[in-house]
Amino acid sequence: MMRFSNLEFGDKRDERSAKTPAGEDIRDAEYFHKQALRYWLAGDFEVALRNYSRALEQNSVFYPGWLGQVQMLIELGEYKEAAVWVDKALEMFPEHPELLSAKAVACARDGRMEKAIAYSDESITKENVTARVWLARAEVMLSRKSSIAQNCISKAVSAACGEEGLIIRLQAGRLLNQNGDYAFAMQFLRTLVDELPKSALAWYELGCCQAGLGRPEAKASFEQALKLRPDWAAADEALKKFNARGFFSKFFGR
Amino acid sequence: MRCQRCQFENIPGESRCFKCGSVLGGAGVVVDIHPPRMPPWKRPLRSLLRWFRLHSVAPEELPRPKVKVPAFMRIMSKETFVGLILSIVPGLAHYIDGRFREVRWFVLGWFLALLAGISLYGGNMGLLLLGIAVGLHGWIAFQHTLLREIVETARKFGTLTILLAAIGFAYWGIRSTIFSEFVFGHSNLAIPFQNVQNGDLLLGRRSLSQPANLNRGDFVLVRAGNVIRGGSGPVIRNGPIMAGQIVGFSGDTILIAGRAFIVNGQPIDSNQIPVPEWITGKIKPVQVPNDTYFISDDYNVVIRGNAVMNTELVERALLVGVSEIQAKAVMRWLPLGRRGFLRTAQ
Repeated sequence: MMRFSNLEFGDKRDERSAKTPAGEDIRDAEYFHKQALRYWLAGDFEVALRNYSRALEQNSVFYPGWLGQVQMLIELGEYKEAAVWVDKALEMFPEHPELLSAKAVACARDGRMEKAIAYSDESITKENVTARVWLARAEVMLSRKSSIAQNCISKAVSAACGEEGLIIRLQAGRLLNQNGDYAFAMQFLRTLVDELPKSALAWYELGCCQAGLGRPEAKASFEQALKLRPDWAAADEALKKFNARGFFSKFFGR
Repeated sequence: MRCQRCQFENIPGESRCFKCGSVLGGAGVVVDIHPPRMPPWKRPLRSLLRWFRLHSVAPEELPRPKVKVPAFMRIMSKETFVGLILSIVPGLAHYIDGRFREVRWFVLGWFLALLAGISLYGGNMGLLLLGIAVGLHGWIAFQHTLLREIVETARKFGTLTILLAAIGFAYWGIRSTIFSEFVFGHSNLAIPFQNVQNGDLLLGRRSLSQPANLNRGDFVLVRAGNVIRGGSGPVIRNGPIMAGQIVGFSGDTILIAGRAFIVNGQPIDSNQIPVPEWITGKIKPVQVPNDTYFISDDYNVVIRGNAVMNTELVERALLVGVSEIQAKAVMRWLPLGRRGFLRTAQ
């Protein structure tokens, strides 16, 4: 054992490699954060939310936990609750641009466009505007059918790097898919499934884009998503719907 | 103590960062970390409200249609009262204001509901569709100005209720003035010759109810009622408008024999003018007085005690004054599958 191995050097300690003497992962906030991410990538937002809550049980000022909870509430369609929860998170992290942008997304999806624009405007005026903020901006702009959205997505993707870059690209692909821009979404998702081959969510989103474009590869994508997560009702339904396409849909490719 | 967000070095013991205000780790802060959840029953309601919100707010960046209207009209249309008056025609205030896009689906929905409601008028479905049309009309008018100005939910609800009542009253006024020519009434008779069945809704025109336009066997809409014979004698109550068939005119003598009418000694084809089933027993010949018609109609007859069917009862039920005839029925209105014009009796 090295002489200074038990000393703490501020925040430089690598929590991700924290292990118990038995070699198991220490169940701290970071551990549950990773678990939540894993479930999010599998499209299981309910369990991901639970893991974010458990992360906060370990460390109540763990910022990714608060942001993750808000994002999962939005994914689950509970926009009003997400807005309430983001206000609570903002009490702890005042004027945090990512939280403001998350509130903008919650408002936009809930049809409160004026509020969404106001929060989005506020979020981009802050310092350290991150990729998530630009992505949220893109979502608000897409709700308004503004052409600025594509620039915001490009900014978001270029601002993120490493592991976060993958998440941002996946979210960008999902956003474009939801807005019917399948071709653009596939630019992100096609390479993403190579980098995240175990993400059922990425395969499912790719399948949705391919189905939207009438590509027969959609079937394989949905099947891959179901293989990774067999109990996923949404993927199963999408696959059934794709298989049950009518003659004209198959013929014209849509 | 270093802030995780802005990396500012704070004095030990502080609960929040001096620079950015974030909560500092290790400060012993106790917070509720379990987010509120939406009950499942709220999901459809919220989806509906969200749909309304998403379809009533116009994206600001969309180009507004260039409507050529005088400037003063545009300014006036922004006023609450003028906007409401203009909204008598759904969407007009929005159109003048250049915001028609906000309500285009509501206007289309109103128009379709109104058309379908008129087409099915008289039935429950028609009533429902007309109610939807009134509701959409109210929403369009309300959405133009009041929705933006009134903030409190209770006041919004109250205003919308008053507005809907006013619009409903306006519809009723239009119905009783412009469409006063038309009268609806249900038939209690089943006449295969005219393809009329019990319960059919017939459409009549008031202008055709003049004596010159009426022939034997024609359907007319009369203000009839239930015939009740009790201890103090038979009673005919005014009731809803019903459809009946003309059998005899003033001066005719009518006899009922062998389930057929005999008018002035001439038997009438019972396929074209059948005798209602409620007329039973022996009935004396009936002389039709002046300004009166003998109209075959079906009634809910309630005979109490030892009373029996007699000629007086038949006369009270079937002799109808000229003024009681509301209209001449011209077509079967409902059910929709058998809509068509009535045949003239021979």
